[in-house]
Amino acid sequence: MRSQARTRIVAAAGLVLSIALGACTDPGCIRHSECGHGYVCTRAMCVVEPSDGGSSAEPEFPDDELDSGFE
Amino acid sequence: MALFAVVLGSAVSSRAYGQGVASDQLLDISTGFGSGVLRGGNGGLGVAQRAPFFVDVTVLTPHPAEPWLLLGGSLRVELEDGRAVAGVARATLRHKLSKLELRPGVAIPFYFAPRTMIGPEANFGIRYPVGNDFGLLAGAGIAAFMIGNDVPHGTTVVMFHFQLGIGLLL
Repeated sequence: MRSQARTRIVAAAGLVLSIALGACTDPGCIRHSECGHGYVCTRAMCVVEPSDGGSSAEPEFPDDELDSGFE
Repeated sequence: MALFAVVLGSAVSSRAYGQGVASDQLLDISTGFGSGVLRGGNGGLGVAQRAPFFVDVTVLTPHPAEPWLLLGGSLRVELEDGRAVAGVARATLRHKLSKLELRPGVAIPFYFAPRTMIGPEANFGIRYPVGNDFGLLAGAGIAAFMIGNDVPHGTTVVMFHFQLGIGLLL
């Protein structure tokens, strides 16, 4: 009985964890380091890091996305 | 807030039941793997994402006068995105509960590469002993990062994480 209860607790915890992680898939960025070199996270979008320390108005894509598909 | 109450409550109870924890150990070494939920956003835009998977190595040592208090730190390495690296200063309470050991604590994670961010963290862990010195660890924590050049201007990055690991008492 105790092992069954333990198994159920572990299964329930796994289910809650997977739902919590799977539900959090909003597009966009949260930290600057998600955007790659030369880009910053502004208003949840990766934009080109301006030279004056502010942020550019137009959203851009990180290096790895630019490199794929456009030659 | 609930975590804070648990930390305070366990501090009081750990004093009362301080005899229940071993006082002859010198080091508590553990390693773990985890992830969680990252929440933030700028300009009123709330964004939630899965936090990057991370591994960490933690070394704790009991306070010489108060063996129910563990002090030490962790090195945490994220395995995704910018592969950030952080040092974490920790203070953890120990409270025996039957075979388990409850471990509420506070920490200050400091991400220093490739960018910086720092903030307070509250956490709660459970240690399940397997044998004399070996144990399985599970934990959860919540941290708020307000300072650093990895935090977008005008926002706070909130990280809620879960972790599983193994530990060794020396």
